[in-house]
Amino acid sequence: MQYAWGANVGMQLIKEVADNIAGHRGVIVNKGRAAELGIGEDDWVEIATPKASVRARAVPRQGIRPDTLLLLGQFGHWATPVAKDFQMPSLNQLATMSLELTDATGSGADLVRVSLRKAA
Amino acid sequence: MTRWAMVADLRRCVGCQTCTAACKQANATPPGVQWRRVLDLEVGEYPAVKRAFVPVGCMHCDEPPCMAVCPSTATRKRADGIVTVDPDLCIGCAYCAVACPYEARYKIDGLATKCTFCVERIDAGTAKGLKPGVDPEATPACVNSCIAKALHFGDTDDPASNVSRLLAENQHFRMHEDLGTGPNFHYLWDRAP
Repeated sequence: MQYAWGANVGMQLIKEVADNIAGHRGVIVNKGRAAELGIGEDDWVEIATPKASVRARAVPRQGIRPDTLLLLGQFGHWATPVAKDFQMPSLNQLATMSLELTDATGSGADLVRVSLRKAA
Repeated sequence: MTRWAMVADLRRCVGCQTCTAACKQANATPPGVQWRRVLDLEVGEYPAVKRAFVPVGCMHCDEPPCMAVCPSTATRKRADGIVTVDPDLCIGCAYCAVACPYEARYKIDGLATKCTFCVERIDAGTAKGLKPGVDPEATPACVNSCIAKALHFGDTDDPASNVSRLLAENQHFRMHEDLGTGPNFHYLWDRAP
C-alpha cells in the first residue's frame, strides 16, 4: 500500500485499511515452514544477511513458497519519512542498494538471500 | 415493494481496500471503525491454495438479530429493508454488537453504529428521481468507489434491476445462510474453493 497516497494527511487512514491485507504488519512466511521452525502468528523473528538483520512479526500464510519470505515494506534508502512506530520490516535494510541489482520496475523485485530464526 | 441489497462479485474483488477508505471518508468514521471491510482469506494448503477477498459489513438482514435484542427500539428495519439505528434512542448497551453474527457493529462515543447502506444518499437520490445502484449520487459510497466493478447495489424486488440480473445469471451465496437471518448481501462465486 502506498503511504504517499493522499499525502501525509491520509497516512493514518491508508495505514488502517492496509492492515486489512496480510503482511502489512510483518513478514509473510509459509505456514508449514513456520511451524517447523516453531514460529507462530505474531511471533518476533529475525531475518538476516551476513551484513544486516531486521526484526519482524511473523505472518504465517499458505500462499507463499516454503523457501521464500515476503517483506512488503521498502523504506530507508531515501530521505523519505518513515513511520517507525508501524514496526513494519523494511527490505531495504537487507538488500544492497545497487543500480546493477535494481530491475527495470524500479526495484519492484528486489531479492536477497537471508536466514530466518525465531527471535529471543 | 423495494428491497435494497448489495451484491459482491468475489471473482472481481482485488482487495484494494478502496471501498473501505471511501466508506470511512463518506461517513467520517473514527480510526479503527470500518463499516465496510474486505477480508483477506486463504483456502487450502500450500501449494493448492487460493486467496479470496471478501467484502463484509452490515448485511441488512430480513430477520436482524441486532433488532430483536435492542432494548430501546433504537434498531429498526425500514420497509425497503434497510436496518437503521436511531442515535437518540440508543443507550449503548452493545447487545446488538454481541448478537450480530457478522461482527458488523461498532460503538462510537457510547452509541452503536454500522453500515447504513448510505441511506442518506439513497433517500436524497430517490427524492430527486434518481435510481440507487445506477445513479452514483444515489448509490452507497463503497459501490461508487469500487475500481473492479465488484460491488453492486440495487433493488432485488425488481426483477429487471442490475442486482436481480446478476443473481439470475450467476451462482451466488449468502454468508451464514444457516442462521436464518436472511442477509441482503449476496456473493457471486462459481468456482470450487
